[in-house]
Amino acid sequence: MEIPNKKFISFLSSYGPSASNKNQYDEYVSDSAKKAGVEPFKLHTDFESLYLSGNEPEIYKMEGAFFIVGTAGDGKTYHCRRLWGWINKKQNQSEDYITDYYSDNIRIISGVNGRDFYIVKDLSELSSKAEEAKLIKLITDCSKSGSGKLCVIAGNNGRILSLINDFLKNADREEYPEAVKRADGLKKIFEDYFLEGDKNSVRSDDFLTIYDVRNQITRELIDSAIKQIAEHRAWETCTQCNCRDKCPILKNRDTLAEQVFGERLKDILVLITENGRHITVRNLFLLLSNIILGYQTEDVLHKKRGRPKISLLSCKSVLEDNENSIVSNPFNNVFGLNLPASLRSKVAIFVLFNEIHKGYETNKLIDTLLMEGLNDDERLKEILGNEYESLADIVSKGVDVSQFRKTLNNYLKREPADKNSSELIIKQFNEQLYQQRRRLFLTLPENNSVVSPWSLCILNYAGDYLKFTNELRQHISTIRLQNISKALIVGLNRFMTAHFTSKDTDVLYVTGSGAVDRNAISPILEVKLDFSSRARKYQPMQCVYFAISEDRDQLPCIVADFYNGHLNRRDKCILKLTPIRFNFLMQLSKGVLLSSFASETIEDIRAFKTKILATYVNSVDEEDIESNDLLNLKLIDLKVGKIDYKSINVGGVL
Amino acid sequence: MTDVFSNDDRRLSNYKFFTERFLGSDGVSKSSVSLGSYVVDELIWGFRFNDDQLPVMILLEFLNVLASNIDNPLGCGSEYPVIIKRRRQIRVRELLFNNPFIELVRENKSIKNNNDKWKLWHALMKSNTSSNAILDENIDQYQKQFEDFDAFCDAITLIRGLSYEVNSGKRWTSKFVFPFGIHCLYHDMSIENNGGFSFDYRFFSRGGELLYLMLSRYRKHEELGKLLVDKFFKLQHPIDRLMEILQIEDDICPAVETSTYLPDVEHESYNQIGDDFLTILRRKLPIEEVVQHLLNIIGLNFSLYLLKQSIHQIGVNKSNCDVVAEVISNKRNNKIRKCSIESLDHNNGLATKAINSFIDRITETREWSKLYSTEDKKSFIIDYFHINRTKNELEGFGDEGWKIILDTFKDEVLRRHRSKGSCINAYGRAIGLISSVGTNKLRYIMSDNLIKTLVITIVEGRMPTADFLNEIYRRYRIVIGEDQAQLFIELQQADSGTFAENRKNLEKRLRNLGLLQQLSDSFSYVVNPFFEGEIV
Repeated sequence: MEIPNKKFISFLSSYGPSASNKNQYDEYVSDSAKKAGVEPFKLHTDFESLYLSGNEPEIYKMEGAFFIVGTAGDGKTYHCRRLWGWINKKQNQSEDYITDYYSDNIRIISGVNGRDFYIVKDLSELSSKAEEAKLIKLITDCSKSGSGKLCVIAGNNGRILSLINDFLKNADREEYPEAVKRADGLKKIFEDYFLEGDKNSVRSDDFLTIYDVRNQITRELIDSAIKQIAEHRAWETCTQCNCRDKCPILKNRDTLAEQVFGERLKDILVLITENGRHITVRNLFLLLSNIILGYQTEDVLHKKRGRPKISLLSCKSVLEDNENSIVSNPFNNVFGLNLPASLRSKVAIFVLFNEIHKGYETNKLIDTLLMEGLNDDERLKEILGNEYESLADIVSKGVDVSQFRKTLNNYLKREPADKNSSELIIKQFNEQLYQQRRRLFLTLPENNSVVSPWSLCILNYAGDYLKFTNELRQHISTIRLQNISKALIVGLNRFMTAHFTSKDTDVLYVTGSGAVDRNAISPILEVKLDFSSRARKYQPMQCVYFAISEDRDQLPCIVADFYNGHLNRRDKCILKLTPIRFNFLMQLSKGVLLSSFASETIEDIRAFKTKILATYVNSVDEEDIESNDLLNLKLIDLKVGKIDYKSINVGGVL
Repeated sequence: MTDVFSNDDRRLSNYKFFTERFLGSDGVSKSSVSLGSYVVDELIWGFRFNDDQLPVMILLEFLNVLASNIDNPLGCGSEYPVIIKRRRQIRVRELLFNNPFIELVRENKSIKNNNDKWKLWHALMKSNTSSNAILDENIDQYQKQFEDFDAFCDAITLIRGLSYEVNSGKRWTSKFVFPFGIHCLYHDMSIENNGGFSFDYRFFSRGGELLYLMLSRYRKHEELGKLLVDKFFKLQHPIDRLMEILQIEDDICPAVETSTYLPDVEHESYNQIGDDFLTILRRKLPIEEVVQHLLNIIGLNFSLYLLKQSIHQIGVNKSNCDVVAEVISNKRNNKIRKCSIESLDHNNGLATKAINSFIDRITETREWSKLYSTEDKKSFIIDYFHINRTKNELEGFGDEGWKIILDTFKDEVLRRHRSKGSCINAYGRAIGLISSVGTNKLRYIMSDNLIKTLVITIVEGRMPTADFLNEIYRRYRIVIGEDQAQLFIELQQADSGTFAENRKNLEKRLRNLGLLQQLSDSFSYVVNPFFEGEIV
């Protein structure tokens, strides 16, 4: 039988999860693209325009070292290969060039436009400490004015730093003073760059350029990846296929192309990255490929033991499936549930997705909707009002709803007396329920006013976070922004004072620590900061406000600003509001404190408090304190939901 | 005469103090116990370490000595004696810790008038037989100082909340306020039968004086002394001011010389603890946090000092004092657990070995080599260690009789040593380095609290995790990962995978504490969030 789109599907599956993980390597994927005769997926980056285009390409002006950095799967080799191809092309136009090896893994091309290029395609290929030392010396050598040499190095960020650190530890400082000095300089620059968060993804100065491919995962890029896969030309050939009406691959592709699903995916990916976790381009494609091609294999369905296998849908398997027995659920595939658990836990992107949504997060309304929304429930209609129609529609139409209906019936009719069968029924029901929650999490539109899809994940306030961040970045001030800000201040106040205030939205109170017990909080009010909308932030006063961080993370942050007019000095304490911290403070402001929160969040906010206290003491003039003969201590207390403080005034001459 | 007092080849500056203290002016002991058994411990480690005195009390006692020498902090160098002006401050201590009446009066709704409240409270205080520090005139002064009785109550409740072990069963004269300043400092006391007070060494058992001596012998002692005075005494904390007001006038005894003894003039531990203090004091941290970290550093370095002194006696090549610390995680690592239990057991056994070595060294003296008869050896031992003749001379028959005498003496010394408990366990538990959590045996662990202190003390901004692990090994002999555990791996106590897992657990803890940044290729950095804006 004719299988029109076989090649493309097989190419797509080369991006998907595999036991060998070989799709981590650019070489493997480009090979399979060639085999399939398919144009590989391409993502727009500014690499070419930055360095390779124009009459006088930037790369010709560069001397010293050019690092292409990132983590595995970010596309370093991809960029390196493009550079290599570009140079080769240029070379072919001139005649006097030499390609040679400088050492085992350092290639050299000389005489391109009068310059020498040294290329290290992958830093982790360097075979020995001696070769590593050789590289550092080479970089030092290139970093001389007029050297006409450029050393291009692609490497993972940790690898670069460990290489430099090793070199500094082992190098003979007297023999190679210059190289040691250069390595010292590089160490400082890279540490600052990787650990402090630089403003730009490109950093350039004399003899050193860093091109960071790490944070490419923007909303636009994800969007472009989804479009490239879901709207690829190759799908057109599927119309000629006999299986097109029942094909699970096509159904999954349609799901991926749906607007809400795509937006939700983007949101989740953005939340993950803004939580400081890294998603590589390769991960992204793996996810998308798995959404379309993942299915419940026999192994997974029956939880078979033994060596787990990964298999993805292929045209052949669909064609041969005469009994329509293939179970492929794109919502499960998003979380890698088509893979055996032992393998799933090794794929970074699925680990991250499963951290956000575990299936347990829900609320009563959602579960009622899931169960009663299938029947014409009058009470539910009353609660949901205008939204009922559309919500019931989403709930009752979709993958596996009939299965869910069946298990729900079994569940309701089960005989509790029969322990064994009833336990099995409950288990099946729970699994189905989790599955429906997952589907709802990925398909529920956000514009309904009753049920937030974010209630179905651990970041309940992720929706608020995304809007808050967006508005802060765009400098739009809305009522929503103000309300969220107020809630955050309440949450912070609760954290700082251990009082359950609910009305303190315009002042941040910070009390001292419990001194003898780290976990206690003293009632002494140490610092009081007015909450300031951003417009007022340059007023000389101490205040707290929200802003966007100035590094490349561009995260919202809380800034405690201490201005000392007398010394004309401004000290700032900054707490970046990652989605997790944001969610923590929002929940705290609503009186919810989940035990599942990593102590990390609490430690980070505690450190912020400590910094505020220390900065405050530093920002006050010493004279001011010493001249204060009268003692005035402010003790906080809670009065009608608001923090109040009474003073103990003691003083006068004894 | 050669004896145990003169055997110490290190420079013993207050040798005189010791001979006078133990031999009396006539050089004859009246005790039934061998005199020498009193000094072996002290000559090895110093006078004195006591497992009743936890790091908090060591720091408070230390600050008392510091306050007594505020004009020349840590200025005594390696000289004796150290001067202390003991602070009694009975009045404020009574107000805080021997005053159950303020709540009674405050909560008595039938009394509306402010003056009546003062009167009732004073009457109640007077009725309390042990109370005699608060005079009538003091009440007038308080009335002038505080807006009303309620404000006075608030102040007292506030300070109580900032004190150590307020609700414990300790006598009230052994309860302490957090050291916000000089007026929060006073000496541990006991209550006499006649109602008077005397200075007591139960909780202030000279560990703080030892710390003072150690830091005085630190190479940058002047710099540290100044910084300590600045941090603790210069800017007055409001609570300190409040304490001053409540005490009304300082109640300080005249200067006396302390009788502490610390054997070595120089020691790597002195420099380590000094460096650690200097670093922590310079971090941009509020005093509450500073104290927390100083306590951990005291516990850690004191333990290590005790171990190192033992090793010095046993012989550096013959033993080690590595601390294998288990990083607790939800996945149990039994092999590490076993190693850490063993390493604690081993370290706790070092003191006994050190004492034995110290005593055995008598046979290496020049005089010993000239002795041939058992009787001569016996009398040499008896004279050397000032062993009580009436008790011991009768024992020890036969050719090897001198050995029996020596062994009996060892037993006596060890008995006395053991009666003081294990300081290593006490310090370790106080700072979260030793715990029995999850097991029925004590072992070394790494608590979050201690991890934080280590990061704040060691890391200048940031540091590769591998370097950090090496550094905590170099400084404190703490073994976490496979690189530090070579000795244990060679002895096949555990394989390198076990230690690698332990290292990964530490990395996880660090990340959870917000102190670690992960890069690719399992390369990570430990970051110290309190480094920026260091106060120089």
